[in-house]
Amino acid sequence: MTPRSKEQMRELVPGWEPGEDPDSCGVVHARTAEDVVEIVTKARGSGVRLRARSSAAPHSTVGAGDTEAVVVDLSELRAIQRIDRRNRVLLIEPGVTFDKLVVPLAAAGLQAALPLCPRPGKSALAAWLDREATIVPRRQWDISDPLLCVDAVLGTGDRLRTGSAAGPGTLEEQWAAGEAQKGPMGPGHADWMRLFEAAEGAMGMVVWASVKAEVLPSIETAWVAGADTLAPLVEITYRVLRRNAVDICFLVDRPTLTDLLAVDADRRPSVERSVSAWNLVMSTAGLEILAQRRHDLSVDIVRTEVRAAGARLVDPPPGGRDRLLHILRRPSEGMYWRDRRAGAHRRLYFQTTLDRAGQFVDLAHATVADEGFDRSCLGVYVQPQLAGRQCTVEFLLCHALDEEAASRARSVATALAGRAAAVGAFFSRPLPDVPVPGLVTDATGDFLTRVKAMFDPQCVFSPGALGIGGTD
Amino acid sequence: MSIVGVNDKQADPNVTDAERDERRAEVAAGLSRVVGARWVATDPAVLDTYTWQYTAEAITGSNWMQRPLAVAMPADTDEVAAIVRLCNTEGIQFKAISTGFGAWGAATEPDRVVLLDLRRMNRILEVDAKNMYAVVEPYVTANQLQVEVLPHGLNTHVAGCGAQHSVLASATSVMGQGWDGVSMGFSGRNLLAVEWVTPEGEIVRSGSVDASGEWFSGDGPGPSMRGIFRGYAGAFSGLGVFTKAAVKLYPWAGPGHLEVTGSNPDYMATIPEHHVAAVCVVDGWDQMAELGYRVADAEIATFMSRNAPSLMSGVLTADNNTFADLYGVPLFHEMLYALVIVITAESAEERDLKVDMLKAILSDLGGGMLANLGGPEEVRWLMRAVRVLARRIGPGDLIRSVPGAVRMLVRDARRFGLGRLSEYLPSFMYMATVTSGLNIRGVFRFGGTFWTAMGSLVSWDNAIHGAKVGAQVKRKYIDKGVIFDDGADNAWGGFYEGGTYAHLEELACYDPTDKDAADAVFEYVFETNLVSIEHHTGLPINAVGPANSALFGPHCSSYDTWQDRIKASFDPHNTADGSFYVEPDFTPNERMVAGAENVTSDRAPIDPNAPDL
Repeated sequence: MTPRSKEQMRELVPGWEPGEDPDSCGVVHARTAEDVVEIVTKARGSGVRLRARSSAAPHSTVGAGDTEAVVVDLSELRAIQRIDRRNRVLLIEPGVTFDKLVVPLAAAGLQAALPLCPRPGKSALAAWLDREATIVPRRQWDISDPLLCVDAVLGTGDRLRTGSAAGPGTLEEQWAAGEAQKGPMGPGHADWMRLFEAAEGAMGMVVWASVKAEVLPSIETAWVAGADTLAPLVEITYRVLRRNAVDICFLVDRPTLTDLLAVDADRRPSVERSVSAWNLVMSTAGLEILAQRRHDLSVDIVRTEVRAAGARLVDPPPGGRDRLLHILRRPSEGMYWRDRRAGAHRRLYFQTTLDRAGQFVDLAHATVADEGFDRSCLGVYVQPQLAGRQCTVEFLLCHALDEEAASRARSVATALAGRAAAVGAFFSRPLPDVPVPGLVTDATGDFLTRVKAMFDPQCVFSPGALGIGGTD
Repeated sequence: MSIVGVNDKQADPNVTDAERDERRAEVAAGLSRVVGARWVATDPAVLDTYTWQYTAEAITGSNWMQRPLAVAMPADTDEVAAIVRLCNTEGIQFKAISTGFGAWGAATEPDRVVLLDLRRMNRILEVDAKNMYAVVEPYVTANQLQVEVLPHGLNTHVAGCGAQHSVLASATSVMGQGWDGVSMGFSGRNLLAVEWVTPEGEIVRSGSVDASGEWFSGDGPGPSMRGIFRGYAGAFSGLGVFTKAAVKLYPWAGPGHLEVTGSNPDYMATIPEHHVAAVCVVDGWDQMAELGYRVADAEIATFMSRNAPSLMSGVLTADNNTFADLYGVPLFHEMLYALVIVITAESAEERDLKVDMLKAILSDLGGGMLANLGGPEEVRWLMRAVRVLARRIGPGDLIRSVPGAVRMLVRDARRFGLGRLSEYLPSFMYMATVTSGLNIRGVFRFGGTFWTAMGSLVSWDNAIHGAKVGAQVKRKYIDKGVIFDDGADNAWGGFYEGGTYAHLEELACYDPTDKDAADAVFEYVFETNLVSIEHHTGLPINAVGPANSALFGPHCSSYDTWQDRIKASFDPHNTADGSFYVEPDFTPNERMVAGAENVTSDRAPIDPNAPDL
C-alpha cells in the first residue's frame, strides 16, 4: 500500500486515528454496524486494508506483519441486544466480553457456553466465531455451537444475515412473530455462518450474533476424578457423556489444574500437592423440575462409572466444590490462569478423538524433552467436544515474559505442531503464528481462495490471514 | 418437502431424432469406458423409469420429468469423478441420485443430463462406536444403518421421509427433518467429514479426513466447506456428488434389536424396558407451545413430534376405510393439540424420573396422556387426556365417540389379542417414531400423494405461528375441493438439538392424477411461500431452487445472489444440474406465471390471531 499522510487516511477512513500499535496503520472505532459498512465501503475503493479487533488486549497476531492494515476496533459495539429465556438465546455484538455476560444471563435464568475460564476482556462473539472449545460438551450439537445466526459485513460492503435471522422480516418483526433467530442453517442452500468461522475476519466482519444459552441449573456440583494416568479418565469421559450425566466435562494434568485453582501464587505448592497427576473435572446438575432427583441420579452415574474405571473421586482443593464451580462458571479472575505458572504462555491446540489424546500427550512429553524445554512448564488440557465424538487437545507451554523465553516456547510449539500433524492431529482453527506443515492442502486452499474472492474480492480484510492465525 | 418452479426446457427442435440417438450412443460409449457397458442404460424404457417421480405433476403438470441422456451406475468415487469429468468435456450435465424421493432426483431438460444412479455404492464403511460416528456410501439407508448400530448402543437420525432414505443424501444434500430431532438433530448438522466430487471432477475430502484420514470432523482448517454445499436445504446434487460421508450417531438406551410382531401392514412393537411412549394432550396451541418448551428444557424426550389427527390416523391404519373409521371418532378427530413423546432410559430410576418430570409439566398445563405407564397410573393419565378432549368436543361428541372407539378396539383385539389391547396405541406410536418405517403412509394414501409447505427451522413459537397461518391458506384449497380435507391443520413437525429450533410443516394430500389438484397444489405452495414472507414465519421448506430463491432472496439478505456466486465459482461450466438449486439461465415458465397470477388475484384470508380450530 502506498504510504499516505494522516490527512489522506482520515479522508479515506472516516474516524481514523494514528493509534499506538506499531503493528497496524492506525485504528478506527466503529460504534454501529452502519459505521462498519461505511468504513469497509470507503476502504475498498482506496486500497486500504482492514482487520477487525473486538477484545481487550492482548490482541490477535494475525496480520501483524502487515503494518499497513487499519484496525477496525469493534469493542464499542457492545450491546447485549436481547436475552430470551424462553428460547434460551441471546443476541450480542462483538464488543460484549465474557465478563459482561455472566450476571445479566444469570438474572434471566441462563448461562453462556463458556470456554475454560476465558480472559474477562475477551470478546465472547470472537471466541465462539473462532470455534473456541467450550466446557459443556453434551450440549454442543455442532462444532459451530453456541453460535446460531450472524450478521456480517462483507468485503463488498454488503451485509449478509445468516440462518433464520436472514428473514423474512426485520429482527423486531421476527420477534413479534415469535421467532428468536434460532435456526442456524441457511438461508437457502448454503450455510453462510460457517464461512465466517475460524476465518479471523478474512471473510467478513460480524456485527452481531445470536447465541445458544443454557438453562441455569438450580443445583450444580463440581467433581474431580483423579488418576495416575490419563487412560482410565478417558474411559469415564466416554461413559458419563454417553449417559448425559455431566455438564462441565474436561481433562487436565496436575500443573494445569493447579493453574486453574491457584489464583494466588503463594497457594500454588499446596494446591499442586493436593491434586492428582490426571484429573477429569465434571459437574452434575439439576435444572428446574425435580432438580434434586435429576442431580442425584447424575451423581450416582458418575460414582458408578468412576468406580468401574478404577479411578477415584477426590476432594477439590482448596475451598471445595463450590469454589471449583465458581471458578469454572466465570471468566478467569486475577492473573489470567494460563499465565499464572510462569508469567506468559503459548497455546498449541488441535482436534482428535478422545481415544487418541493419550498418544499426543506422550508425543508432547517426548518433544519437550527432545527440545530441552522444562517439562514442568508443559500443561495438558483435553476438552471433549460434540458430546465426546471429538476433542480439542491443548498443550500449554508456559514461559517467562522475556522475548528469549517466548521465542523458545514458539520453537518448541513449532516442533510439536509438526510432529503432531504428522501423526494425525487436525489443526482445525486459528493457531497463533506457528506453522503447521501440510495444514492447508490444495483442496482446502482452493476452497478458501474461491470463498475469499466471492466475499472480499479486493482483499480488504485481514491481509495475510486466510483462516489461519489467532490468539486467545 | 418439495419445490415448485423449474425451467421449462424443451428438446432442441434443430436436433433430429437420429442426431439425438447418435449423441446418446457417443456419451454411452464414454460412460461404458468408465463403468463398463453393463452399468450404463440408454434404453428408453429404462430411462423413463427415472422420469416418473413423486411430485412431478405439481412441478411439470404431468406425472413425468424429463428423460435423461443416459444412466450410469458407478461403483466407486473414481468412477464418479471420471463421469463428472466426462460431462465437463462433453458439455452435458450430470445429476446424482441415491435412494431418491421425488422430482428433484430427475432431469428437467430432455436428453442432456447423465443420471448417476449410486445404488452400487451401498456400504457402511466404518462404525466408530466409541466416537459415535459412521462413515457411509450414498446408498446406505437409515434403516440399514440403524439395524447396524443399535447393537452398539447407538442410533441414527432418520428423516421424516421414512427409514429407506439415503443417510448420505439427507446429510449432505437434501433437508433432514425428523421425529427424533430433539435428541438426534437435523441431517445437515449431523454431517462430519465428507468426500466430495466437485462439479469440475476433483475429489475433495473435507476437514479431518483431508488432514489425517480420520472422519471425525468436517470443519476446517479455517472456514468450513460445509458452508458452501449444505445450508438448510442442501444443493440437490447441483454442486457435485458426495461419495462418502461421516455422520454423527447418538446414544441409544435400548436393546440391540426391536421386537416387532405382526405382518405387513399391521405391526406392533414391544416397548423395551424403561422406555415410555406417550401421546400428550393439552387444550390448545398456547398450551402446546408451553408443553414443547418445558419438555425441551427438561431434557427428557428422545423423540418428540407434533402429529395432527389426520396424520396420526393415517399412520395408525393400513387402509382408507379403517382410516375413515378412526378419523371419524370425535375423540380422535379433535386430538389436535398433542405431542408424541418417547422417553428412553437405562434404568427404572431414570425412567421414573423422566416420567415424573413429564407428569409435572402436564399437571401444570392441565394435560393428560395416553402412555404405557402401567397400572392405575396409566388409567389416571388416560382419563386426564379424555377430560382434555371432552372439554373440547363436549359431552355429546364424547358419547358419540364410543361406538367408533369400541369398533377400533375390537379390530385391534382381533389383530393383536385382547391381552395387548391397552398397549396398542403407545406401542404403535413407539414403533412408528423410533423406526420411522410406516409413517409416510399417513400422507401418501389418502389421495395418492402429498406435498408440504411452511416448515421453517425456527423457534417453536414461530413454528406454531406458521402452522396457524398455513392452515388458513390450506383451508381455501380444501374448500375448493382440490385438496384432501384433513381438517386444514395437519401440521407435522418436531424439535431439534434439545429444542434449540423446531419446525411445523403443513402437509397437503391430493390426487396426482387430477390435473386441477396438481395445479392447485402448485398454487398452495406459492401462496404459503407468500404468507411466510408476509407473516415472518421464516424461510419455508419450499424455499428451494431458482424460482423460490428469487422470491425469497430480496427478503432475506439477497442470499440468492450469493448462491449464484457460489455456483459460478465452483461450477463454472454449469455441469451439475442445478434445477433444484441454482440455475444460471433460469426463467419462469408459463405455468408458473399463470399459477402466481391465480394466487395473487385470489388470496386466502389470513388472521394471524385467529382462535384455535
